[in-house]
Amino acid sequence: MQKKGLVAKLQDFLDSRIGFTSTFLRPVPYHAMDPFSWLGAIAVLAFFAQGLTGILMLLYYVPTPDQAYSSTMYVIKSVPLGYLIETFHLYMAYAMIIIVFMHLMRNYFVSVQKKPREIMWVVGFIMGVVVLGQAFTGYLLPWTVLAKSATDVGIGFLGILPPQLLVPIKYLIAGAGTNTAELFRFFVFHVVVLPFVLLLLIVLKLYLFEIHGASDPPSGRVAKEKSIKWFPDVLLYMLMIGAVFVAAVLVASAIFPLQLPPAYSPTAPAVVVQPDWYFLWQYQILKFQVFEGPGEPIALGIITVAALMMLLLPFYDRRKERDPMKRPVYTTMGAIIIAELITLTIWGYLTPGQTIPNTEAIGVIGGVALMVSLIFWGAFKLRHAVSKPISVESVASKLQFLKTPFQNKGPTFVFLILLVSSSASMATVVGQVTTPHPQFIQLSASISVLFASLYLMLKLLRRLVLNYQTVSSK
Amino acid sequence: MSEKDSRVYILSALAVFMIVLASVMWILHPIAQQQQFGELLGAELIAFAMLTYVYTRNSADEVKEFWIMAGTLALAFLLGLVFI
Repeated sequence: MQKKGLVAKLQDFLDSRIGFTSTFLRPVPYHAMDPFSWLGAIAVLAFFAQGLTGILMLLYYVPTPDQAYSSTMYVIKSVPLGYLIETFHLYMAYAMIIIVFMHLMRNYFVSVQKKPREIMWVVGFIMGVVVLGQAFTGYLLPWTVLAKSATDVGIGFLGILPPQLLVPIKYLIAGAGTNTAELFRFFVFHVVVLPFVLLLLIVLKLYLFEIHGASDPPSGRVAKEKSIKWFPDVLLYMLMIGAVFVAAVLVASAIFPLQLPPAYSPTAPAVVVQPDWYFLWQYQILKFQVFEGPGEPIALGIITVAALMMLLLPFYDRRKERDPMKRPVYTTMGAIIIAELITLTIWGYLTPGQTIPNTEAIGVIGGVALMVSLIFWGAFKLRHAVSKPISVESVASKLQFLKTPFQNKGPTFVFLILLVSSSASMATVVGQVTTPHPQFIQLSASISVLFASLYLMLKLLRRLVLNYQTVSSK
Repeated sequence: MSEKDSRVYILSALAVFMIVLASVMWILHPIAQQQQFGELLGAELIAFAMLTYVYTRNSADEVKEFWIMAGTLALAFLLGLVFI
């Protein structure tokens, strides 16, 4: 019998008492050994790196308006490795946001949110929002003129809330309106409240992960798939990708050190308000001409509804299919979301403080969506064609449906009239909603016409499709 | 040189490299040479990742030349930044 080494003996000793190899350190399925499956773990690593560097900075930082900037500058200029730690903390926060977003979108594409992991998705999404909250509160702490202006604009968005909510929430976040209260509350949120909430959510997510384990690959479970032992294989794998990740952020921090903008003071010259890059996409939407002034609540409402749609995704996407190649609509939607966010962020960076005309906004947003849709439509068609070779007969038979409107002139004519009326009522609704004082009767009449037209159009389409199917089956 | 020996050779070289880097980092000035410190610590982590990668392969055949080349280039780039 082979004699066990010291490490193996220690492992056996601990395992017999704690039972970790059958619980949280159990073997991992082979398909999960790729970096994209470990994005969540990398985000947790980033969180702990932030905690460590944050504690080091806390040794010197003073959260008062007259000392916040000078104490930050002291860390940068006089503390051993202070410049590196300060920049690393900032860049690791950026990296954490990117990793969390990649984790979210990767899970979206491979549909891990489906039953029974719906609650894991919701918890993960809330963790993403808390990470953004961490970034928002941390941005103010150096007390620079840019951070103070952008934060005040951000707090100003709370103005869309009803007074019953606005007053307590604003007091909770920013205090009684003094700079001292605002900075101190942001400090408390950044170093105590939000990290604590995030830690609780990490524990909850790990607990849920413990219950459900790693998800199967989207193409289905592999029969007799081999498992990888947690110790030492999975641990070494995690250390390897973690080391590369930390090295990348560290090297970026060393090569491109942080440049702190001037300090904020009430007499400081006004600056063009621009949030940090991770909020630029929202800010760019708010700069659209249609959402300026009274339209602002509509823009914030749209962003909130979009976020809620993402949060509740597992509760309305109930199909069992998980393979992204067999879910063209959801896959294309995900690609559009990524493309739009990147476009809005870059566009926001290039146009600070500028109002974006409506035509330009529609052109860029619609153009990006159209382009991505066409690329994905082509890719899915191509994939389909590769799996099923194209023949002239098959293309001709697929184009037969184009005859349908000509064979059904009456319904087609009515459909066109309904199309015109729905377009006109849609334009009226948009026009009314974006005016300072919308006319209630005209608005409600337009909405009624719009929905009636859409409903009748759907009924007609159904009839045309049924008619086509009957003709083609004969 | 057998397959096993070639892996041992890479692992030994990386381990020696890491010790040398750690020694250099030890003598850097913690305020005036922070950039160099960051670059060397980055190199140290890359070397550690390479070491882990080679160690976890079952045989020398499984060690992909691409990753060794990519890691070596990254190390060369970082050392170039430190000394240029």
